[in-house]
Amino acid sequence: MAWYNMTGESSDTVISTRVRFARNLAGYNFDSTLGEKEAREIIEKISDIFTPAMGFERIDLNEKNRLEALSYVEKHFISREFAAKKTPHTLLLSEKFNTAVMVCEEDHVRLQTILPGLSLNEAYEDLCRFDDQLDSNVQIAYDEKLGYLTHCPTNLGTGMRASVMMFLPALTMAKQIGGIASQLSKIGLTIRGMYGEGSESRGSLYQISNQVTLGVSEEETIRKLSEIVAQISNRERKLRATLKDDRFDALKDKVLRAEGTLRYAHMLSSAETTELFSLVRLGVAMGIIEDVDCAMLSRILVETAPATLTLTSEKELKTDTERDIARAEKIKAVLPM
Amino acid sequence: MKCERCNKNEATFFYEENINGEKKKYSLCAHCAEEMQNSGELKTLSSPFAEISSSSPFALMGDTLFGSLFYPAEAAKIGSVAKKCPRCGSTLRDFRERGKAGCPDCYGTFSAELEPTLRSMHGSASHTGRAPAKWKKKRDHADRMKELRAELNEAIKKEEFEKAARLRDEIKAMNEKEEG
Ligand SMILES: [Zn+2]
Ligand SMILES: [Zn+2]
Repeated sequence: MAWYNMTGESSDTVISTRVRFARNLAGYNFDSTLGEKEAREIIEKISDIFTPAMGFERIDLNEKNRLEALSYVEKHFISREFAAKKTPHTLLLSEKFNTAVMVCEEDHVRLQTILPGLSLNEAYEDLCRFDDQLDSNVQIAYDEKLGYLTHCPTNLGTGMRASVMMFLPALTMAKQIGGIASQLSKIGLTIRGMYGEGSESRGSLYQISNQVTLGVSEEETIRKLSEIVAQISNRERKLRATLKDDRFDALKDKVLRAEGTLRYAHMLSSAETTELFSLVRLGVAMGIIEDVDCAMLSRILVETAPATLTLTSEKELKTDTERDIARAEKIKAVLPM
Repeated sequence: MKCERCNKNEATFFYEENINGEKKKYSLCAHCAEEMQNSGELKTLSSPFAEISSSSPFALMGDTLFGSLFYPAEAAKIGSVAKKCPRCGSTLRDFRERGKAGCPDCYGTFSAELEPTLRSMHGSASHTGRAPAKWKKKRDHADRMKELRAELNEAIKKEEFEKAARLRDEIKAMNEKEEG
């Protein structure tokens, strides 16, 4: 089942967990100096490993299925850069394993698993299995000293990026994200707003990930990240508890108004939906709203994003108004009456 | 280290040139480096900071990282600029402008120039962690050999000759297995 239809661990503070490995094939140039013929060779080689029999669907991305590609970006299966690429590139996707193999991204192969909630170990272990599969079928560019050789030196070593999408409304309100950011940078981690740059992110959604890949093992990185995410979760929970003591009625009013808008509005923009999502998710986590669960909310966030909405809508959506109406309808269909 | 020209800012550019035996050495801040570049005081056109590309991640990461690509010891070599990756033909300048290697072999070709950058980027310049099966086997073998040799030395020191003989056989067997 796709990750956004499930509720995972620590879902009060964590939306999803993503781990990716960057790998390149020995004997081929990196992307910027790679010929088209070689790119196609790599695509065929990797497609022969992650086959339909293994649960992977092959999607050759090009001008014609641009919208589909953007929808995969909104579902966090692939990167925006990969969707926009001009040279040959292919996605091998298993929605069952929530795993995407991006072939000819910045690196020849990027393996990525995304799971709901906090699930770093599981995502890492899943990915290792797919990495072993890759390793036993092709020669990987590797150096004893530098580890996995990647196009960009920022990924050298493990080639691993582990990131946790966190939901931190109380810390955002308390203006504590900036402080967290400077603490994280000292230990090789970073925090970034999901929507818009800067320290305050729309929807209070943040991505926390490792920046260092050389000299720190995968397991150590996962352990460190898990620890930090747990610490941040606890700080967020404590602040929420104080909110509940001090300003409960004001908060409850805000949350229920947001729920009302989400349920009954005729038109909803993407930006407003993200804001309302945030308040309702907080309401669910604090027990103010009971008949909505986190999976419904993740689904709303994914399925009302512009490309996915356009792709799944029965009508053709030409104007912003049409899109905003369709978005409100989609939300009504997801939320129980 | 302070910039030797303005004596105010931190020096992040280290430059060395050697033209017909006449050596010049500068430690400069980004600002002074640019001024000297513009005024032509830095003669060599292949000067490392001739074109700072804003699309390069090195540039985005700040002058310190970018500057450290050109450590004093290596700067003299860069003066000749001719070093090319034998596989993909990338020069160090290509590497720097892209912010990315051209092929896996670039890392071997420019390893000395890259090392300080990797250290400031990652805090380390050597990998620990997963490896492809082929390399892992090699690494495990090397680790086991190291262990056995240490045990052997210990046994000899303690005059446990029977144990030492057994360890010596094991090491020999492992060596043969590796070769065969
Ligand atoms: Zn200066
Ligand atoms: Zn090269």
